[in-house]
Amino acid sequence: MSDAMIEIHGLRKRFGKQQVLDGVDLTVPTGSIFGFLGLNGAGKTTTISILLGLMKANEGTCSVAGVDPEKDPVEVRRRIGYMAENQTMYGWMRVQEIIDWCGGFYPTWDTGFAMDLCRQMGLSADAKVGTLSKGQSSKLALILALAHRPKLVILDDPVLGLDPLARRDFLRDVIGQLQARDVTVFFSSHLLYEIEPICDYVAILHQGKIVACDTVDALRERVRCVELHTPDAAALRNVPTLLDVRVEGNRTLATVADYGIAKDALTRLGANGSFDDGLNLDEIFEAYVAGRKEVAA
Amino acid sequence: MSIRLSASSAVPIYRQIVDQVSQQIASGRLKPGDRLPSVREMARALPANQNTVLKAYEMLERDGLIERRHGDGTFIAEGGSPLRLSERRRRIADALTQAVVLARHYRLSDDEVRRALDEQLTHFPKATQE
Amino acid sequence: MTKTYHPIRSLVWKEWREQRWRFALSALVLTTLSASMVRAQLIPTAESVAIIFGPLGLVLCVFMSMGAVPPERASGTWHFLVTQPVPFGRLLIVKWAVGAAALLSTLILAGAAAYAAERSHGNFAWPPFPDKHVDLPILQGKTSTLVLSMVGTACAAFLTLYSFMFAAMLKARTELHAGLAGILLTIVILAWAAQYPMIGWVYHDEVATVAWFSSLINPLSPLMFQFKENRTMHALALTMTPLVWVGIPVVRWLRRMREAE
Repeated sequence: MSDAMIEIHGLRKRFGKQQVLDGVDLTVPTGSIFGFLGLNGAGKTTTISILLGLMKANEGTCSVAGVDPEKDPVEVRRRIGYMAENQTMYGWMRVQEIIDWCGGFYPTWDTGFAMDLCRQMGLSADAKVGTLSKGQSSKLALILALAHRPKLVILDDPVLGLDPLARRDFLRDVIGQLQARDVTVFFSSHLLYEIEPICDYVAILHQGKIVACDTVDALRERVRCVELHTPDAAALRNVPTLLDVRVEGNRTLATVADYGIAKDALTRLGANGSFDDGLNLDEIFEAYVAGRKEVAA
Repeated sequence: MSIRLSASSAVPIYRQIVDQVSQQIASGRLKPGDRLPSVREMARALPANQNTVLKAYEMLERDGLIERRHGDGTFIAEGGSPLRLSERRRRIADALTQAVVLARHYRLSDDEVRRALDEQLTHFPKATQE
Repeated sequence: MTKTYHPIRSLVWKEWREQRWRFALSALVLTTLSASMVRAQLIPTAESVAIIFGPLGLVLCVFMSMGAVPPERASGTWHFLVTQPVPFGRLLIVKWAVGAAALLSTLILAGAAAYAAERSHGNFAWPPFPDKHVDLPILQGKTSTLVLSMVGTACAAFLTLYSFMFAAMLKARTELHAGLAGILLTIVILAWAAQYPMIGWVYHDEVATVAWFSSLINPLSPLMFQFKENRTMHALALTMTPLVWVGIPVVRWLRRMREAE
């Protein structure tokens, strides 16, 4: 198997007249925790549906854990663990029952391991699934996604709807149970600052395209906000990798995607470098998905 | 050992871990010979990516603040001043920047700022070099 | 490691656990009703049985088919189910089969109850409307053949109807939607069937009225009235009706698929 757990090339998907995915390219390295970011409706869930073989792409290829999901969706789902956005499980089943039930679908299921995880995470085997709290439900969903010992786990916005405590608890489990076992994690979310400390890599999906894909540290290193004193709109347009321009009083703030490339052009425009700030992931995300390159009149 | 990550900060996560550990060493909350949690334990507790914690530990080790004994764990390094001179200078400069920004904001003259600093310096007795 | 791989068993177990109350309820109602109606002899036996296997059977079809997929869509477990590593077709077949088994067992139980009640009291006749009966001398006096053929016919007819409804309800988002769709579908099918008597095979005033109104929903009714005198052409036009009803959605669906490509 190659170094990539997921490989996507030129993926396109259209629903009627709406182009949801417009040429997505993505490589998820084996063993990484990969944050897949995007606004609601950016196409995250569509991408994941295609990865699971629930949906067929109009164009493009993908390989998930060495399998083409379009050709063999069942094999893909056998190899990976998946936890859906707001996953609802059968409320009438008991924890033990749902573990046995899911086990029926996986040749490599390890019930003993699942029960160990339940004990570690404080889930009672006799509890009815319907009576679990949201936090406990997400733990159970994680156990069900783990018990066949997959090499890749896809989590679709798993912290959605969890309170801050449960969210932190869940992320601890992701680190403690997944990363500690060398499982590759593909993690979609719209809560950036929550997942930033967790991720090795992040990709930002916007309007059906990947607009940024890098390690968190590299992204923080290269995306910078620079202060200028001459709001020369025409000259600014020539700054390479420009993402966003904002005018605040007599200052102009320009955000660039690659500071290394843009630095010379910015210096020529009068940036003195002393206020060149790093940004947090939220701000980086905002610059990519909501950035405007035109200076408002 | 308590480390609080602020995800909304522009300071990278590994930098936050490094800063907080070295601050706790400087303030004496962590003493030479104290045991630090393993990378996995620390990553789970924060929670943060193991690679990030590893990177922070490597930086701390390079700075001579901690030492990793194989098979035994990670410990606060024995002896010496925990921070290098350049690092100490950087911290002071950072703290002074804040003061100067405030001074400009309140339109205090440079002399007044210098006088205030001297006053503070005489107020606190010089700490004896360890 | 315990060996646990048995996808079909898992699917059937879950379906049975979810459908058993539906099955118990319908079996109880239909068996009790058929036994008590036949036993009480308020109306002739054959009519009682015709009611059980007629309108009540239709309700049973709707009741059984709406329990398969729509509740899972409403509660959100559908996504959980389809993301398990099981071919989608196999999953649907198991769902369909469990519902079909429940439907058939209910019908057979109700038939058996009617038969038992009949054997203990009253008489049994074919066809259900004795005054307009079609003479089937083969069946005269053969109660067991009679019951068997009635149950058999009902099973075949309702299994077809159930399968049709099962497919139609796959997209329904809640059980209520599915139920309403099922009732609508039943009305359309009955109204369509009621147009056959217009040809004059069996003639009742009431049936003629229903047939007249139902021809309003039939896109080919002008054609039917055109050929009112010609029985063969009339029957042909009528038989083509479902093709129009099925054909239009299929053509639309095909066009949408082509657009998507």
